[in-house]
Amino acid sequence: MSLKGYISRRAFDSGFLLILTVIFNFVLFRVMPGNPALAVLGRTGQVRPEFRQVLQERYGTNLPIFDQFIIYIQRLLEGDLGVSFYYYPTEVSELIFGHRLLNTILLMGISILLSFILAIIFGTIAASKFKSKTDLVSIFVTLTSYSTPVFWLGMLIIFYFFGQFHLIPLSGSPRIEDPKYADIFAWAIDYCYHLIGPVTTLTISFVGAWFLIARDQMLGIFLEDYITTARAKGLKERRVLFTHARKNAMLPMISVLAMAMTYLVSGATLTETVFSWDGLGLLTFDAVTYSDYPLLQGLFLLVAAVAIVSSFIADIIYAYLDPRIRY
Amino acid sequence: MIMVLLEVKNLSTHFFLKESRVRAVDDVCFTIAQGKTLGVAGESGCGKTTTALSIMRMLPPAGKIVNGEIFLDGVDLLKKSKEEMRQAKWKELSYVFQYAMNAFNPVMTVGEQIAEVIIEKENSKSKSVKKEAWKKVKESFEIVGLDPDRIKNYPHEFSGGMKQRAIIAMAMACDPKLLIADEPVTALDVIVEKKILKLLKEIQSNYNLGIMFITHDLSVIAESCDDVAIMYAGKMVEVGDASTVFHKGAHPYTRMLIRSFPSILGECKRIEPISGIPPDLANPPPGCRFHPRCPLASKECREDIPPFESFSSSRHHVACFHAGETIL
Repeated sequence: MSLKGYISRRAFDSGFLLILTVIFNFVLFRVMPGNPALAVLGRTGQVRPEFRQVLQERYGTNLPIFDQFIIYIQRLLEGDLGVSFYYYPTEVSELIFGHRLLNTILLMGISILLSFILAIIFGTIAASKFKSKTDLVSIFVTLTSYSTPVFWLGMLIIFYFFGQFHLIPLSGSPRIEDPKYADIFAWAIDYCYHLIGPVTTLTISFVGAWFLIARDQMLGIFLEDYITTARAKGLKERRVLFTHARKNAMLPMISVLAMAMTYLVSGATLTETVFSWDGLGLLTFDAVTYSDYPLLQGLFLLVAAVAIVSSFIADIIYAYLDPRIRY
Repeated sequence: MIMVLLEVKNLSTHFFLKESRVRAVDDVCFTIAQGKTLGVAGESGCGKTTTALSIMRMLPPAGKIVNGEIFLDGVDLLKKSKEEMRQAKWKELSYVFQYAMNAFNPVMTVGEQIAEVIIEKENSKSKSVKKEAWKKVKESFEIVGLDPDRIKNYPHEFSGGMKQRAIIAMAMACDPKLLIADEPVTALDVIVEKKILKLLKEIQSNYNLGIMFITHDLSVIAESCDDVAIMYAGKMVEVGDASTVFHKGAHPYTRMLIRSFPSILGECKRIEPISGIPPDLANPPPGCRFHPRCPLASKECREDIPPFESFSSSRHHVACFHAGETIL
């Protein structure tokens, strides 16, 4: 099977999956209870029937469901995700694709990259010192960090590093529009300062699982017959490790990274909430709290799309790294 | 005049485990002549592979060579530094592993894996060396009967027999003097096995290659080896040329091993298994290691280790107090 055929087939699959996701994402919010009136006026507020009528018309929920779907698709193709209930009259796309997306991508991107690099470095070291004290201690530490609830970890970090040692700010995410910043550098420095807490929390929680995967992967590769052959051939150890082992060891890490890509846009709701980091995770939390369906719908679609696209890219990288993969 | 290629003298390799010391190879001596094949046979776990890995100095971390000398062309391999040994590997001696199916890296082409070792041994990355290496890869494919147009194929695109041929091509890439083949045909069916054995013979006569052929299959040895070494529980029990060992085997274990194989041409008789199990090498029996299973065992077998001495001729060595005695 040719590489081109494989890629085009995977592209077709991904496109099909994306269409299914759009349909499902539409249906999901029509079958859930609730309506704009409830969301806008609160659960307890008495709603006058004529007022409800106005809201229904504004959001189009009085139309037949099929017409709603057609309108939804048309608007989606124009890049219009609708108007938020809670943040009315702000548009959903404006809420998502603004400073919040940037905040989340920066927070998650740095945390993911940092954890990924740390996991691979420590995983390789632990594997090469299999069963030594270094190995056992790092397993214990990472298992502990992996099992620690992330919100509790975040609270601990705030308690000690803000409360006791005054090393980090309490919470929040500085906005560049804030007039207190003289220039972009002042903002950037304060921004990084505020990033320390949430990035540390997320890195500690990510690195545990990935460390174990990386370590197992390296251990497995060291035992592979082709590594023994490569050593028997009298190749330099560097070539054995970096040419023969690395390509094989990278494969599962690609999956790990592809799966982590969804975090890049979904954000870490718990961590963002604890640190009041104004990102998409916090936005999702708010959208759920206020039953803001259009916003939630937009967020879900974004996460699903990123998941599909990143797994498509991962599949291509896989095929490039491993010639046996041509499903 | 027989020129000795490999001489192993009093080799002892032990595995140091947490609470015990496994004497996997104990005081083993043998030689391989230039251009000849030595077949090493014995039950699983008798130390065949450990002996081979000791020669390659590729033992797992727990394994240590505690005593002995290994001369390849007069040079003691055990005295070489790690770097010298790395350079000697594949150039002087190469190894065909037990697991032919997984010996190639799945994500590199077969040709690439053969070429890399040629390039590495040339110690230069110039274009002409690379070009020369790929030319050699093509030639080696032709020698082992593979289509030279397939050098850019990946291992999974080869059948089992083709992979085994490619491995032999790889082993011959740097014109070694000695080839250690550890169960090279065990995973193959008999027809492919026959072809591979024939191929090895051809290559051997063309390149004057010494081969150490490890197997547990006596019929393969009978077919393809000049000399035979029989191992039992980490000890060499009998070494000699193939016809002597097969027809006039003097050690009771050798004879019982041969009897436990069915013969196609001989008379139809019940095969006789050797009763009992091989000893625990962490705690081997005193005296001769075979005595608990040996019908000829006497008092001295239980107390003293039998010396490895020449028996019927200078090239026939046996380690037994009762060598040549009839087994009832």
